[in-house]
Amino acid sequence: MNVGPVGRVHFARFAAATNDFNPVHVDDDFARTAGLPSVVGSGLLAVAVIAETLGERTIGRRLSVRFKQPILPGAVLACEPAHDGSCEVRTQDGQVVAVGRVDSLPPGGRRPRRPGGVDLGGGPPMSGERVLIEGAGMTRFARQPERGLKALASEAVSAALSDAGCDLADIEAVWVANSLAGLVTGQEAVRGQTITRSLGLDYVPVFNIDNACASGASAAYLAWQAMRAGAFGRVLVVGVEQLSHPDKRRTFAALAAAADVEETQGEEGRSVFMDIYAEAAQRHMDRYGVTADDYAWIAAKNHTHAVHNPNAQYRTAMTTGEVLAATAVLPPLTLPMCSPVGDGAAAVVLTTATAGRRDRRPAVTIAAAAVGSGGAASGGDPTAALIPVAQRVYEAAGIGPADIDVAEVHDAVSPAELFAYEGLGLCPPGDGVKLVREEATRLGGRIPVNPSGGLVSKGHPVAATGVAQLVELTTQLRGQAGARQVEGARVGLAHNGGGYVGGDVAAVAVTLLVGEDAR
Amino acid sequence: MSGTLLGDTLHRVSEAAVLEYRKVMGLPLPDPSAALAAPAVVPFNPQIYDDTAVVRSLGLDFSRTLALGFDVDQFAPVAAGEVLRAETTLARDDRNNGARFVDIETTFFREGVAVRRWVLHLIEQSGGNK
Repeated sequence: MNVGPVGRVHFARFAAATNDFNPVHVDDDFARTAGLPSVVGSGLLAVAVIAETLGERTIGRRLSVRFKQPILPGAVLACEPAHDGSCEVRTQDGQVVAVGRVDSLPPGGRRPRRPGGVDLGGGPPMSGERVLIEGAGMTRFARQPERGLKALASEAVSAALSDAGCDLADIEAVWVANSLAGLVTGQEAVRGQTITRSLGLDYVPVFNIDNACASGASAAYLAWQAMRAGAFGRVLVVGVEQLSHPDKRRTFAALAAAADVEETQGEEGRSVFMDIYAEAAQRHMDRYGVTADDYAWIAAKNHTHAVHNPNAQYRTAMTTGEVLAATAVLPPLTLPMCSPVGDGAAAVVLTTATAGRRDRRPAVTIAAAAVGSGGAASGGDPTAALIPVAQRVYEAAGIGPADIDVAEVHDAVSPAELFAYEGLGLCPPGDGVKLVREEATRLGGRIPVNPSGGLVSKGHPVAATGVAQLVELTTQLRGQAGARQVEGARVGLAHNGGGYVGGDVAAVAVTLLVGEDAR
Repeated sequence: MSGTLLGDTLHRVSEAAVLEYRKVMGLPLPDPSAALAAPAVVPFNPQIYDDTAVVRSLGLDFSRTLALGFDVDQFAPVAAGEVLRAETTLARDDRNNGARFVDIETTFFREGVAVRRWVLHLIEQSGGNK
């Protein structure tokens, strides 16, 4: 590409076109006071020459330009791309005025670092296909051991396909999240394929995903990544769990296997996670002045939200007093503060903007997602693993916690919801209790959390939970949530956690969804 | 977002500015009747961000300030006429041997999704005899 000769008029017109009113481009006298021989062309003129030369090769890439010499009046600018992706802008006398280079986008934008400088690694690249949630559906969460994985998954998939306006023939790949069927039902290894075959969905790639209670969000994350890379145009993500069993010991043994079995032993008759959470809840009380009433308020809020959710396992409103007076599990936990054993499935149909949508409802876009794991340095801080994952998502999406209109968080027990407020940055560390006492997280509050009822009331069939959170947020962002609708919701966040290893959460996932009208 | 937030505004990718820019660059002009129906990809967007105003707001002296470089992350194409939200942050403001190094980062969002980010690297040279 050749431009020029360029002169003062070009410099002035370019300055006007780009809103660049630096006087060195239009005022000779000023330019001379700056030590220049005359007015000079904007550096962005050189960027423009390089960008025009490279054309669409810069889309989905980083273009870096370094300025070497000013562009003086009379210059003829020439630019030819080199094979290595670099590009020099030279004048007619061979002087290099700028050097450009096209590279891959940095993973996850700037990499977040923990205090102390531990590089957390790259998040997802921000380039690639825009991925939409086209359809969403789920079963009711309840104790329904007689139904089995196939029947539960089939109901959720049918609902999601119907919602998307497509059918099985449109599906190019399937991610199936399940964590505990091997221990509860004996079905291992090919859980996803047993489901897809029963649906009549043959000859497509099927991926079996297990990441403890974060299996559902992990499956959605992996599907999203594959679609952004252009591997598929329309896929299905299913989370399904049959947790209840006539022999409760089998259920609790399966749940115990979501922790490191060599280091953790729970009391018989309850999930080992209740012991873990009760200890963390007590530490937070000691450190930040949280009370059992505060935790009970969160539980009561979510049970009251769930009254309006036909898919919730429990749909009975509760008061803080009723939560506190209920059967004690382990101080400060009472039964309504703990997610129940239940069965269910949830599914979403994902499509790319390129593949096109079948439905005509407001689009819901997966703006960013990230998955992380815990570490030895957490020191018992229940937010240590969540904070960097949330930061990665916020960085990638360019959306901060102040932009979130509605959140579905992993309240396996009610204190964990308060931890999530802090880990997600909805409030400063230690200030989660303030959100509770302001009642900011109830429907109608400043930042409603768990309008679905959350895990304690909607239910928590392990691997179905993360996908069900996406179903709820899709419903919210479309404005279709009825009596539990968060008014004007346009940005939704899902937080899904899972497992326990070495004193910290094993897996944590955050997904950020944006509705159509969000800016 | 990192850095100090300098501004959060809406910007329209002006079609008139795009045409003017293409004239300056000696580029073929699109058929006006087709331009709106099928807006062309704009690899570099004129008039969606006034960095001069930001430079002024930071108290930089134009007569001593040079642009060292410019990085553009092109997450998605942008078309003439689009309205984008722009968030501008001061990503770097360091002093070294009397010079001030400033990075101004602007991220543009479409429907809440980042479509473009650019970083302008500036140096304000030491005062000297000015």
